[in-house]
Amino acid sequence: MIFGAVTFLYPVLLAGLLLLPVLWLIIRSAPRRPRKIVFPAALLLIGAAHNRRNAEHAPLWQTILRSLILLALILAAAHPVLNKTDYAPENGAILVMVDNSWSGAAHWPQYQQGMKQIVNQARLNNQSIFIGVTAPEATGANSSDLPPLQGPLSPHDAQNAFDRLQPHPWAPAYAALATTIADRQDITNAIAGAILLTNNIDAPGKATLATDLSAVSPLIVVHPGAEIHNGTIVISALARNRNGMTVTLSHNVQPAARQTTLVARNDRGQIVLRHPLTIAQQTARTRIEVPLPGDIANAIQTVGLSDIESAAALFQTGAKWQQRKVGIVVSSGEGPVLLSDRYFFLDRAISPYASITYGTLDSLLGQKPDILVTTGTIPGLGSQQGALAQWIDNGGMLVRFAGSTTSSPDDRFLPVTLRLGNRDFGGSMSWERPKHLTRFGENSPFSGLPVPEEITVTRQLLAEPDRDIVAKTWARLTDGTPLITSIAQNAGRIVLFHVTPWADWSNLPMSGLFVEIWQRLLPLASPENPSSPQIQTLLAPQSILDGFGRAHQPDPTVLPLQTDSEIPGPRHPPGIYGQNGQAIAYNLGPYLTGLDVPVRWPDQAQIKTLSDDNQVDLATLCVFLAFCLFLLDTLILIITGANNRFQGHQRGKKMTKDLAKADRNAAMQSTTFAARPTSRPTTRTLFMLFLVSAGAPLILAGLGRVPPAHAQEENVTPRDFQAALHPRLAYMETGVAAIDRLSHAGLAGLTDTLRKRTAADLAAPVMINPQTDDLGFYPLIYWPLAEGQNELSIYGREQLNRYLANGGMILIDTRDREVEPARLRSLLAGIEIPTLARAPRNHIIFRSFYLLDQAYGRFDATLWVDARPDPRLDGVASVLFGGNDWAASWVQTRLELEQYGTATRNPIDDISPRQHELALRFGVNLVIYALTGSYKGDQVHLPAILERLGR
Amino acid sequence: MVPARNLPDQIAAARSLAARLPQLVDESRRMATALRSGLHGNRKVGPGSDFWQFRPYIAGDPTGQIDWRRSARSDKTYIRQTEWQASHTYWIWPLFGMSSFWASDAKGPPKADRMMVIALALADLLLRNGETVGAFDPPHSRITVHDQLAKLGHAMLAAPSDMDAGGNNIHPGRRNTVLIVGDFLEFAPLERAPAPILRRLVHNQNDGALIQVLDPAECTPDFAGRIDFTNTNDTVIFRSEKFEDLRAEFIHRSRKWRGRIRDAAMASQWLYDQHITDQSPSQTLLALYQHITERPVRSGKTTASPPNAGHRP
Repeated sequence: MIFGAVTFLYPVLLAGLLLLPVLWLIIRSAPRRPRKIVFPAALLLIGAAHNRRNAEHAPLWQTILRSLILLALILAAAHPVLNKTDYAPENGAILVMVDNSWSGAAHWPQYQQGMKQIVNQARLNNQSIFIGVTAPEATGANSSDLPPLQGPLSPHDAQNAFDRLQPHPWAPAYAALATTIADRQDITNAIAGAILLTNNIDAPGKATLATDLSAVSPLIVVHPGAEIHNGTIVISALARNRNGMTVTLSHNVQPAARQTTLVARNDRGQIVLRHPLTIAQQTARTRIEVPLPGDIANAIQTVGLSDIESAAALFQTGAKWQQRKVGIVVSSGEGPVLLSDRYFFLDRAISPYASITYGTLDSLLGQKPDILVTTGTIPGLGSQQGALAQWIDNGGMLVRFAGSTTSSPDDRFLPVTLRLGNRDFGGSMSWERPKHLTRFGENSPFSGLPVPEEITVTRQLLAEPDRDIVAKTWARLTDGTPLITSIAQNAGRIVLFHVTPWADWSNLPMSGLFVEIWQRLLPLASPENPSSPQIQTLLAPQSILDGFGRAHQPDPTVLPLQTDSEIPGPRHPPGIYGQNGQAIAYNLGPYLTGLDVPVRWPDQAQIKTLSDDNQVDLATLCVFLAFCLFLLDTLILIITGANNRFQGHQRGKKMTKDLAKADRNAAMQSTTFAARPTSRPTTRTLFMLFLVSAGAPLILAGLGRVPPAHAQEENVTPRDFQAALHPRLAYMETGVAAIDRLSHAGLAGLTDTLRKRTAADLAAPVMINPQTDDLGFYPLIYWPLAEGQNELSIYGREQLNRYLANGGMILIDTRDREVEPARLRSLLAGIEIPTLARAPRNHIIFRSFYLLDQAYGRFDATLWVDARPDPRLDGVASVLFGGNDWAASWVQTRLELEQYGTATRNPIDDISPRQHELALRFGVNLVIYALTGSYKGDQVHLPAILERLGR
Repeated sequence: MVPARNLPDQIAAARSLAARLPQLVDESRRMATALRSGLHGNRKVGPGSDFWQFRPYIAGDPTGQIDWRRSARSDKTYIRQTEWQASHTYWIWPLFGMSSFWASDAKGPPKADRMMVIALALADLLLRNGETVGAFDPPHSRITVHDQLAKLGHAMLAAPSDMDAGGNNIHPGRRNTVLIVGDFLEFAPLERAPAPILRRLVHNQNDGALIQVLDPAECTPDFAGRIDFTNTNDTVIFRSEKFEDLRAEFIHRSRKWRGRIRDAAMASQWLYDQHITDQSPSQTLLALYQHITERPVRSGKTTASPPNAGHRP
């Protein structure tokens, strides 16, 4: 179903829209929460008949809003898509072939987008899909083959199958794919169209496949758009030269100049080099010289292109990459070596791949070379024996040649024991013919190198035929005598050429084989990784690259590499093979050629371009819209609900204020007082509105509890203002209404008594809640503990602790004479109650106004105070603790008390007038103590002080 | 209009009312003075201690009443008459139930304020006439001096707050007058009627009056919509789906309820009057005062003068 540009992928679900009228009625009949109104005369209505039909409906705006939410959800379920792209005919099965070989990796996101669009279209038209891929995969023990065609798949399964596709870093097998398709006659009969997702570069069999397919069904070729950044770039070679390195890029013919950046990384993945480069237009090959210091070049492990994620655009360096330092040992008496012909061939063979230094043994050892080359007897060995042995043990490689002298070298740095003298073939004194080289053995690092026939050896050093001579021999002559022998010595290695490095004993140094031998030899001396004693010919995979050029652990299907002359495939994906000195970087780039040849598509094929991202998924948009509307709905509910809450709040405030005002009147005080801000409800509501709109998600999380608390914190309430102006007693809100009323009445009675008997003129007591109120204004807080009282929040405890720490005083009353520790602990959890001790008889609290001997209340149990009051607070206790139910004993008239007696389940009508008086006296003492601290305690000592002053 | 939730628990409210007492006493005094100026005192001869007048002796007068000092100054013989001071006791009983502290308008006075004003103003008037006024607090305290109005007010606050339940604990003397001021909401349910308690009071040949103090919203409520009605204890007593439908029913029931109270009062030949808090209390007070003072002198026989059932529009 398509409406203009919008397409619904699941049009069936649009039937849900038929439900909307029903839902409308349901939503409309669900009215708002009823308002709560206090109206005692509603007693009259009890028994009145309800008229259900006329029940209040939800307001219109709410109904519309909620219906819109449902509408958006239904639409989202139908999954609308904007600007859907069509690739294939609208009916019949489709065969989709995806190029998941190396060339697909660079454009894989676009390919995925294209696959998604194809699936969407198939989902809409209810088509089934066949899937074919171009990259072969490993099958069986050691072969590889194309995976079979999948299908027919439903669009959903096809999407899953597409999601599992990954590009592979090897060449596509179009010919095999053509064969596979040709073998499946059922598919070619079923499909109404074939789609080939690939790029525009020719590959073997590609054009043939296209031609074959277009003969049986309409063929649509989809390739990435011809934008500048869509070109294929491959690093085809990376070589070192004297100044640094040379990078060769091959690419398709660029329509315009393209900027890119070469990125080189070291073995830890850190970028060691960024080299911007420009690819000129209308070229197919670019060569860049990058000048680099040798050590930085040595550190490079991979070279890639910054904007292309592909194994073809990533070049790894192996052990060969790192340039070795080769030292050639000359005797101190020798003349200028460059004039000598003795090292000419050696120099020519090594110098392209390594840096050569000439010097005496001790000077060379000081430079720490990777390889030392000597001829004959090592000159200057005498004093350097130990140093040389240590250097070899630490990983150095000593390469020795025969010298010009007739005697054999005879010292400990030899792989084999040599016979005295040397062997001479083909000379004038010999009947024998000059010998040739045999093929290199399997244990030799040179194995696989072709041996030219023309190499002859006329003289050689002869080794004693020891038992392990075969294992030590890397190259031998046709009669079996060794030509090159080697032995590993700890981390290092000693190699002996049984000929001279110049051309009088053999023509080997003159041959190309000598250069190749040195190319194999040089990496073996790896300075960081001491070479393993075993020389391996089958190189096990160390890490392999996936299609995007990311390194992975090799899986078991990857076989060890013997030769790197073939293009990487499923059995040998590009990566690092072999260990340490033998590590070979097996790169994809060098094998990719013909990038500049565009494929010739058959005439019948339709060529389409992947449209990038103009397909918009409207489903998420719909869900988002529904969510926003839901937020709005909740917001409105909160605001209206909050209004109700605040009305009640105002009412409670008004009551308190009336009381305070009445007390002022009674005390004949002047009634001039700070004018009451009359606009407060409005500002409060506006503030709420602001708060809610600012943090809607937050509010949603904590629905309602947060706003009042915040409102109280943010501004100084008039209540705090008044509390600051006129001191008053406070009691903790317990949430048990009867207890709260009793506390209020008790403290009011105490306040009254204080006003009559002392100079303390306190205002009416207030109820406080540490959650919401600022405690700092109250000199004394009375805290009755009750069953079922409010839990303190963390914030409340924090407030209380801060109050106590800053010199506040709390009287905790368990109201039951004795104290039950477990219950106490649960009630007071989280509050830092200091260590308590029984109040001694001479405590100030018993002296501060009246002289008392007990903390009289309804009972006269022990009073507990801080055992060690904080000297910072002048030794005044911050926590007083007892169970004497003081509030009940302070209630002014017996009549009121009786009313509380029934309310609080306590038989509290047992307070005699004497007890009431004593309790009031204790109360007076308590308040005076809270107000004056230790001052009264000092007054006790006044006579003694006066006496000491000399009165 | 109406607070969604208020917590005037009776104690706090009563305390607040008690704290406002001086104000209310002043207000009551003012009102009483204004009323008294338009009324005539009932000064007449009777038993008492205060001097009233000298009158020439007529044969038949008790000789013990002759004031010899006055008679010696002239030739005639005078007898000394004292003012009639058979102080009658009036019991004033305002019912400060939970519902009385409620007001439909947060700015308007609650019913309790008005009840207290009416009670104290009446007490002031009566005290100045030399009557005794009492309240039904547990000791049944009575005062005779108008300076002690505040004390009387506190005593009234301590009186039982429910006419039905507290009625058994009150003991007015014989032939005393009982004035009950309240909203009588406890008689809202049909099965409860004020008749039994009234009958008990009338049994002692007591005269009296019922003053019903009402909030405007209790006669004609103007709520709308879906409402949970709660009493002052926050317990829901009635849920209305749509109050507009119930309004007529409520007004009807309210009228019947007030009618039942009035009928009960009239059956006992007591005065019934109704006061709505948005009106001035002086009208009610005037009617009440006139009813009390103009009642026939109690000399044992009961006259059949119809009670002045004030029924204001």
